[in-house]
Amino acid sequence: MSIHGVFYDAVHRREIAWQVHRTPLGLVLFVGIGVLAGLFGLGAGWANVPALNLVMGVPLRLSAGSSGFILSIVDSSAVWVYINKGAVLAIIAAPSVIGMMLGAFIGARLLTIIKASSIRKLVIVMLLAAGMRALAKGLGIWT
Amino acid sequence: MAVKGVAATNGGSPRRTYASSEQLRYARVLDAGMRFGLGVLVCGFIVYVTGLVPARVPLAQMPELWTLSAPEYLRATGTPEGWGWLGMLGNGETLPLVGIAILSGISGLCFVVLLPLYAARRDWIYGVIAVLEIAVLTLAASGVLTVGH
Repeated sequence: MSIHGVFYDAVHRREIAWQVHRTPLGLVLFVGIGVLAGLFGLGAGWANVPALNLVMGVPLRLSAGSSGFILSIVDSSAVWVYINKGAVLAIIAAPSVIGMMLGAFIGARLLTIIKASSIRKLVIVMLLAAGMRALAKGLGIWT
Repeated sequence: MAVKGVAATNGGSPRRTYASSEQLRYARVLDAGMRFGLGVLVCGFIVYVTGLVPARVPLAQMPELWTLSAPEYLRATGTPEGWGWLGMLGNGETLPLVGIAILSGISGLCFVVLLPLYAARRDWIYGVIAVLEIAVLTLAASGVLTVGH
């Protein structure tokens, strides 16, 4: 599909050309991520960024932004299903959406000024924390 | 998607845009819809929690209800399924759903505005992907799909 382009790295003040690799493998991986997300009710952001960055060769900043874009579409579908089932409680959902959207504004702006190496470390820490929390919950240590 | 930089100017000084025309179109619609939806959501929530529009289920009763499964909650509160919530906009707790519905519908609209661009360019692969995205979002919004509890 010849997915490629150029983006401007504001931290290093230079243009970076990028090219997506292994698109068919990426498609298979995203099917797997979707199945896991559906089976266990997990958000897929934890898996999107590594799949895009490590497997498909998308720069980390673009991976983070693309992951947010993917989630916005997937979650839009899910929200309609929940609204139609009457399963959205406004008293919980409204402040959560407002808070997360404001947080996303800040995060998207920080993404352009933080070094890619720092973002990579943050992603690793977040994945480790999420994994340890899931393990602790599975073992009944953290309920 | 071959994304090419497009030369542009900003107040007389040269500036380079790194997004494609479809990315910019998508972003403009998303940005406008998101601001509108967020505004509606904030207003609806304020109206709900301040009691300007009375809620059918009192706020004080919510902690007892939110531990219930979705079917139990619907039975306990008499909330309709599907698009029936649109008929209950006179209730405070339903108003924030309007903002959430707008925010959930924006992605579909973004893909719709891309279709003429893909058609003009005869970019069938991305055109089909956009149509499929619209179909999935429409199917989800239709109420045909269901979830467990």
